[in-house]
Amino acid sequence: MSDFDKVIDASKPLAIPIPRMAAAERFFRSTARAATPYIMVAPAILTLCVFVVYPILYMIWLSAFRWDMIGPKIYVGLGNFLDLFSNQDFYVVMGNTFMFVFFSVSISIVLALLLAIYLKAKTKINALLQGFVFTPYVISMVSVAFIWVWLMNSEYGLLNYMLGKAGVSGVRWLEDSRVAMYSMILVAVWKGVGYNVIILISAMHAIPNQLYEAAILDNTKPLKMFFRITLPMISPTLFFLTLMNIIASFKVFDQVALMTRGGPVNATNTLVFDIYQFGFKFYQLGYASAEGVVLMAVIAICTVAYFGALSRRVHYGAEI
Amino acid sequence: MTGIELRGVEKAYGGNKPVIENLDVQIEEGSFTILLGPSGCGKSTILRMIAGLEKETAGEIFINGIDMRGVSPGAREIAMVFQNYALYPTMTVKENIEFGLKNIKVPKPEREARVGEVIEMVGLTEYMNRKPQHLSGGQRQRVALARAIVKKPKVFLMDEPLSNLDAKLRAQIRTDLIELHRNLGATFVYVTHDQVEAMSMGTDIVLLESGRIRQQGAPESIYSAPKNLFSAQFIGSPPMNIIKAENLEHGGASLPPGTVSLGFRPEKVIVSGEGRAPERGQISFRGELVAREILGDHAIYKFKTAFGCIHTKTMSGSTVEYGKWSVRVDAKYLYYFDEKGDVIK
Repeated sequence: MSDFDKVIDASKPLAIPIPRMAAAERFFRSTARAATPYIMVAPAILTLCVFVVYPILYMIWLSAFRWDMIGPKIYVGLGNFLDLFSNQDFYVVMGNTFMFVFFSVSISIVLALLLAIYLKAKTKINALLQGFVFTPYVISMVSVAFIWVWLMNSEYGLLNYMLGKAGVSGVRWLEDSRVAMYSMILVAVWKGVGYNVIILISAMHAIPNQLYEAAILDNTKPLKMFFRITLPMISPTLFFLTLMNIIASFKVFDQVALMTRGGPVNATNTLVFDIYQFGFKFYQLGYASAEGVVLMAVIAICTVAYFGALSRRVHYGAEI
Repeated sequence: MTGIELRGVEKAYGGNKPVIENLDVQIEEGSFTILLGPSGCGKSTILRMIAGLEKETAGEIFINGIDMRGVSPGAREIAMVFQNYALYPTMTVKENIEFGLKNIKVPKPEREARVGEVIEMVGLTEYMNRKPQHLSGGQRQRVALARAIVKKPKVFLMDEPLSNLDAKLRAQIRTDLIELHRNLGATFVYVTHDQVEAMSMGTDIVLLESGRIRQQGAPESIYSAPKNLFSAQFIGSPPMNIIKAENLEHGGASLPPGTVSLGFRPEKVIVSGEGRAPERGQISFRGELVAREILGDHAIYKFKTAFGCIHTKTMSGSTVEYGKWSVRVDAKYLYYFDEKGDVIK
């Protein structure tokens, strides 16, 4: 082979030895790369599983048993649900819950909207008033409950005292089964409305002022200004806020436990308080779990229905 | 006839010093008047006072001879185009345009006809049912214009409507606006800080500085006969060259008495070989070319001279090479300014 041939040969790919990884090492490296994201999210997923997914599954499983926390679990299939749906009290509890959710959320949202419109102007007095309406939200429910139990006491409560001064006969706020639920709603609204007001005010402040100026030049009347500009522009916030209010109201417990313990005659007994009663006072954990499953289903159905009904009317995209 | 008149208008915010003091402006009916000035000169405030969105602290505003005191913005027969368009984001293009007509209860057949006509005019027929967020900047701008046009106002107020568009689109909408103004015959009042927009579109320019009018007139008259240093340097691109007169005196040039500085437009400068003696009636500076911008049809050069920097603009001819040159200007193109910055006739 001459030197000339060697030059020709050089046009072929050079056989420079590239260090090769062992097959096992290559496999290990590619697997490690693929696994990295899963390892990263593992702690969060694990926590979620232990504290959310497992309890839910356990609750569903438990609803198929009769169990008093001490003795053995007795499998009853759908027996707890049959008991539940044949129990007249359960329908009262469900009615109470829906009533509480509907009135406390709708009153709170409408009232918050009105207050937000009134308080959105940036003045010193409004800053103070915003603080006032927000205060109940930061007070502990225990304090709120005791304040209102005292205020609403039919014998020596301040409300009846003032009604008496005005010449109106006293109301048995928490003792009359026809009134008690409305009293509970009143307290829930009083406590929760401030939060909604603050959130709605900040949503209103995010609306560009030029939109209102354009609307003024378009001869828009104040009421139309609210319904065609303010309301659509805050709709994402309003939508989210209402949903959160609904879910929170379905789960009301502390207020009932502290103020009325479900009474009088079940008039203020709501689903979560009922679950507590059956689970931890009557030790019927299977029955309580069945109620829990119902609560979960109801919240899920309400949320889906709410999304279906309203989400298309919500305007997303703040850009103008 | 006067379309809009401001008499002794003053505007102050809170207890602060007024931003506009004792301002008199007359805007001809049917004119395309530009309120031009640097940011903070009060031009937008003037526009907003004409619109009624802001209340003047003192003085009077007349639109077509009617005192606007107590007249709500919606009743002033004006339409306004905002810088950020201010389209209603929750309404479609069509709803945006017809919103104002619905509010004043224009009957449906007439409303439909007017809206249809205007949408066609701005070329948005196929976008009629889209929401603004699905439109490009230029399309949004046209919706904003359509919303103004459909009201058939006597006066259009525009607050920097092109500043959010890219340069190409801006140039295009500029000619659209000139055409629109000619077709509608309405009074246009247009706020901008861009002298190119002012020169290209305006039939009348009101040049403002810190709430005061520095000069008002047709674009060509402001360009060729600036009244003061401010207008000389605000109009023109690049602006007028200004040379301190005291430096020149030593050169033995004869200047009108009281001259503190003199100026000349970059377009009037002749560039010639270094050392070439000035001809009769010319002044000449020796300088070095330090920067050049070749822009196709014209070129801009920056010369460093003993009297400061001199910009020149040549429309054609061969490119000037970097190096030492002599720049000359005919004395007839010189402007002389006194110590207050006013032009000496």
